[in-house]
Amino acid sequence: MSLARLIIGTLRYHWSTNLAVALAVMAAGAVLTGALLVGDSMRGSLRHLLLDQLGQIDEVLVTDRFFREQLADELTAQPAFQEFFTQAVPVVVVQGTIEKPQAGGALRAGGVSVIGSDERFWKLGSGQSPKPPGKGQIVLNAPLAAEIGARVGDEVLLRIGSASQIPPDSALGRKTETIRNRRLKVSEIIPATGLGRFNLHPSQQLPRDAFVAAGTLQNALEQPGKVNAIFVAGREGESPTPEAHNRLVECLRPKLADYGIQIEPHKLGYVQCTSNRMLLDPPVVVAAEKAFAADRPQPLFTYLANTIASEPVTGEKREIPYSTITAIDFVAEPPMGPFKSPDGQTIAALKDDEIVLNSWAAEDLGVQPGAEVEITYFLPETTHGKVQEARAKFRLKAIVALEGLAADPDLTPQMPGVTDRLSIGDWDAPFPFDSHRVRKQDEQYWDDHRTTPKAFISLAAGRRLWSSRFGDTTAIRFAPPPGPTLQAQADQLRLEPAALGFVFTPVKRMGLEAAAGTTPFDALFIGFSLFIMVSALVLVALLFRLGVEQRSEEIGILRAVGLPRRKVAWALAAEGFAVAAVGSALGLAAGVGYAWLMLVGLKTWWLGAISTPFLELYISPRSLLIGFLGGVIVSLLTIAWTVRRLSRLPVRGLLARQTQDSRPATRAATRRSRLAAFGLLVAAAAMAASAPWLGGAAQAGAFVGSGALVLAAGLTLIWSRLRSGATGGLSDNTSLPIARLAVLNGARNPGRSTLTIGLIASASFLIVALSAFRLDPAAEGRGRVSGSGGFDLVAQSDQPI
Amino acid sequence: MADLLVTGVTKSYPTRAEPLEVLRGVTFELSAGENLAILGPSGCGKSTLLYIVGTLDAPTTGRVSLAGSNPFDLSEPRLAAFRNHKIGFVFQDHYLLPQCSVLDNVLVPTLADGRPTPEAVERARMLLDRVGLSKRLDHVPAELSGGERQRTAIARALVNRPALLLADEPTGNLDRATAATVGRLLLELQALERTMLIVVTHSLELAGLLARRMELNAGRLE
Repeated sequence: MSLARLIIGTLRYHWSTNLAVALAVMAAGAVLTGALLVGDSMRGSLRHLLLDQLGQIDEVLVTDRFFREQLADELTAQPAFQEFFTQAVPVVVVQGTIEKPQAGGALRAGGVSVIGSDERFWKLGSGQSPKPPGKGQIVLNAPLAAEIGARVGDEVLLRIGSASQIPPDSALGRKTETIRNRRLKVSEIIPATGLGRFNLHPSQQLPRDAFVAAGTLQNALEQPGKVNAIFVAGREGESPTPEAHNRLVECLRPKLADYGIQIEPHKLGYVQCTSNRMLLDPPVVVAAEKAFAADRPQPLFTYLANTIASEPVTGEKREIPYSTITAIDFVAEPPMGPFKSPDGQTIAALKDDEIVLNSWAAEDLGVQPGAEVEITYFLPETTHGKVQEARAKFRLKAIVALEGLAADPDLTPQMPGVTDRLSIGDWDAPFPFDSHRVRKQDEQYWDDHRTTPKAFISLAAGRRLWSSRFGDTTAIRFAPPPGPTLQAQADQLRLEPAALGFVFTPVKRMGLEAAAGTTPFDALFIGFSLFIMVSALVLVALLFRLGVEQRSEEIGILRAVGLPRRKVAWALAAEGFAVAAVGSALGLAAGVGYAWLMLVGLKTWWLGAISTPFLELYISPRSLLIGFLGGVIVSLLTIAWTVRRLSRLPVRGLLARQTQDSRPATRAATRRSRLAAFGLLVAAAAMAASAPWLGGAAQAGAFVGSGALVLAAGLTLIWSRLRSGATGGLSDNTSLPIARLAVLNGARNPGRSTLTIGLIASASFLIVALSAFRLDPAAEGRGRVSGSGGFDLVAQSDQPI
Repeated sequence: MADLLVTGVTKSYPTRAEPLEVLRGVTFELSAGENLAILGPSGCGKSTLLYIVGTLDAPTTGRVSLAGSNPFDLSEPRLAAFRNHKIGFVFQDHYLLPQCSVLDNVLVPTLADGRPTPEAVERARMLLDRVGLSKRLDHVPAELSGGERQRTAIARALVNRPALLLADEPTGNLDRATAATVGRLLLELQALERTMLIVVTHSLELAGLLARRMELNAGRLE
C-alpha cells in the first residue's frame, strides 16, 4: 500500500467519472490542437503552394524598360553568381488580354500574365514541363483556358500594351493606339500547378497565365532581342538567403544600353549623353554631372512649344507653330559655345525671363531684341490623361545666327512618330496636333533644319516650366580631353542599377516569410473556438468536482485519519493530472480530426475566406506538443482550482457529503461582491463609451470586452445573491412555488449554478454578438457605404484608359 | 492527572437566522484505559462534541487537552499529524475506501508518514486477526458484510496505536446481534490497547457495556 497505489486504485475504481472528465479534457485539447493544426496547415499549404508555383526561381527582376537578353547570360557567367545560383533566364513579362473569337461575341479574359520565354524557363519548374510554344503558338493554363473556353488548336487573340519608353503620363507620351494584337494558336493547355500557376506576386488565387515564345512578344512590342525580366534559379535544396540576394545584386552590371542611355560623340566636337526615354532619369543626371565634372558638363532641356508668338511693333500678331525650345546655359568656350548673333557677338548666359530666337524665327515673327515673346506649351504631366496648355512670357534678349551650335538638330531628343518623320504634316504626334496650323515656311524649316530649336531660354527657366517626376534634362553634353576612348568615357558613368529600376526581388524568400507569418489562422481559430474551449474547461471543472464530491467521504476519511490537507490535495491533483494527460492524449487524435474538419469547411462551406481550395492538412510535432501540454496544463489548473476549494472544506462536511459551505455569506462579503459587480459594470460602460474612438480590431475588442465585463458583473451578482441566503423560501411567493423551489435548488450549490449560468450566458452572448455583426449584402442595399461601394459591376482594363 | 481534559467547551454555528448554540460549556476528563459512553437525543450535539474532541472541528470557546497538549494550538499539518498518531475514529458509517482491500484500508492512516513500514503491516494483520478478518485481507469492502466492514474500521482506527479512540454510533447501522458483537469487540480491543474510548450512541445496550455514561442534554453534559 502506498499513496501512488491508492491513486491508481482510485483511478480504476472511479473509471466512469474519470472517463467523463477525460472526454471533457479531450474536447478542450482537441479544439486547441485542431486550431494549431489549422495554422500549421495554412502555413504548410502556402509554403507548398509557393514552392510549387515558383519552382527553382528564387529571385526575379522586372523593370519598366527593355534591356538586352545577354544581360542574363552575363549574369550567369559570373563566378560569384554561380556560388549561390544556377541560372539567370531572360523573360518578357507583360500584362495582357486573351480573346477567343466566336460567333455572338468574343470571350475575353483580362489580367493575364503573358510570359515570353524559351525552354530555359520551363526547366525552372518542378514536374513535367510542356513543349515550349513555338512561333505563332501559345500555351494557356487551365483556369485561363476554362474562362475563355479555349481548347488546343483554337486560335486566340493576344492583346498587350506597347512598350513605349516615354511614359504615357507625360505630355509627350503616347496615350492612345497603344495596343498590340497577335493571333496565336493554342498549342497546349497546362494544369494550374507548378509553373502553370506562376505568379510574380505569389498568392493562393489561381492566376491566368499565358506562355509564348520570347520572340513573339519581342516582335509584338518591337523590342527585338530585348527582355524586361530576369528569373534567377537557386540551387536545389538550398534556402534563399539575404547573403545570396546581396551577392546577386552585386553581380548585376547592366550596360548603358540596358538603361536606354547613349553616350555619343558629336560632329561639333562635344560628347552627348541622351536617353531613349527622351528625358534622362534624375539619377543619371546626377551620376553624369559627377562623372564628367572635369569635362564641363552642360545639361540641357529641350521641349515642345505649341506656339512662339510676338506682337511686332507694327503689323499683326505673328506666331510660329510646333517648335522646339532648348533650355541651356550658354557658355563661351568651345565646343559647347559660343552662340553668336548674326553680327558675330557672343551671346552671354540668359536670365530667367530672357529668350533668344534664332534668326529664322526672329525674322518670321518680325521682332527685334527687347520685344516680348510669348510661348505656349503643354504642361509636362497630364491630368487624368488630358494635356493642358500653359503660357509664359519672355523678353527677347538677342537673335542667334542659325549656324554652328545654334543650328544643331541634335539638341532635340528623338521622339518616335515626330522626329523621325519627313514632314511636319506626317507627324503621328502623341499630343493634340493641328496640322492646319503648319505653314509652308514651317515645312521648309523642317526640311532644312529638322529639329533644330528655334528658341533658347535659361536652363533654370526651362526646368521651372517643364520639369516633372520624369526628369528635367534631355541631354548632358561635355567636352572630354583628347585621348580616352568613348568606352572609357562610358565606363566613367557609374549608375546604380536599383536607382533605375533594376531591382531583384527575392520572391521565394519573401514568399516563404509571408507564408510563415501569414494571417495567424491558429490564433484566429483559437479565438473562434474559445467558447468551446472555455465550455470544455468549465465542463472539466464541473465533472471533476462532481466526481470528487461523489466520493467526498473518501477525502473526509483520509483527512480524518490524519493525512494532511496538502497531501490529500496532491493525491487528488495527481489523479487529475493522470486524467488530464489521458484526455489530452485523446485530444491530439481528436484535434487532428477537428483540424481536418475545419479544412474541409474552409475548402467547401467557408471557401470565401480563402478564395481557393488550396489547403491540405499539415501536422507539426510542435503543435501536437503544444496542444498536449496546453490541454494538460489548462485542465490541470482547472482541476487544481477545484481541488483547492474541496480540500478547504471541513472534514465533517466532507464525511456528510456536504461539499458546499452551507453558511450564508456575511454581509461584508455580499457587499464586496456587489461592489466588484458595480466596478465591472463601470469598466464595461467605460470600455463601451471609448469604442467610437477606437478603430478596427480594437473596436471589436472593446465590444467583446465590455460584453464580457457585463456578463462577469451579472454572474458576480447572481453568485452573490445565491450565497447571501436571501433567495427566500417557499412561503415568500406562493404564486410561483415551483420557480421559488428552482431558485432554492440553485442556491444550494451557488458555485455550480453560477458556472452553469455562465456557460449558457456565454453561448447566448456569442451567438447574439456574432449575429449582430453579420452583414447581409442584400439588406445593405446599394449605398456608397455598402460593401460593394454601391456598384453592381466593376470593369478592369489592362491598359490605362 | 487525566490524559484527556475537556474544559468549558462551547460550539455555535452561524445560520441564516440567529447563531445555533450546540454545546454550552461541556467539561469532562478521561484517563488511559478508561471508557465513556455519551448518550443523548438526536441533535443534542453528541457528534459535535466527538468531532471537537477528535480535533476535526474547533470549539467556539473552551479547551481540549490530550496527552498534555492543546491540539488547536497546532498548525494544520501538525494537527493532522497529531490526529494521525493520537486519535482513532470509528464512525456510524464505516467510510472504507471501496477501491482498497481490507488490509489496505487498515493501512490508510499509515500513509500520512509515507509508505507503511513492515511493522505497520504486521500490526494491521494482527488487528484484522483480532477482529476476525484474517481470511478476508484481500477482499474489498463491497465483498464484506456490514459487521465486517465496521470491524475493519475498528482495526483501521487502532493501527497507529492511538491514545484516544472515538466511536460515533459505531453500531448504528448494524442489526442487534452484530451490534452486540461489534460493541464487545470495541471494548475488548480498547482494554487490550489500553486506549481511552469515547462512544457516542443512542444504544443503551452499547452504553451499558461501558464503564462511564454521561448524557448530553441541551448542550450540557450531565
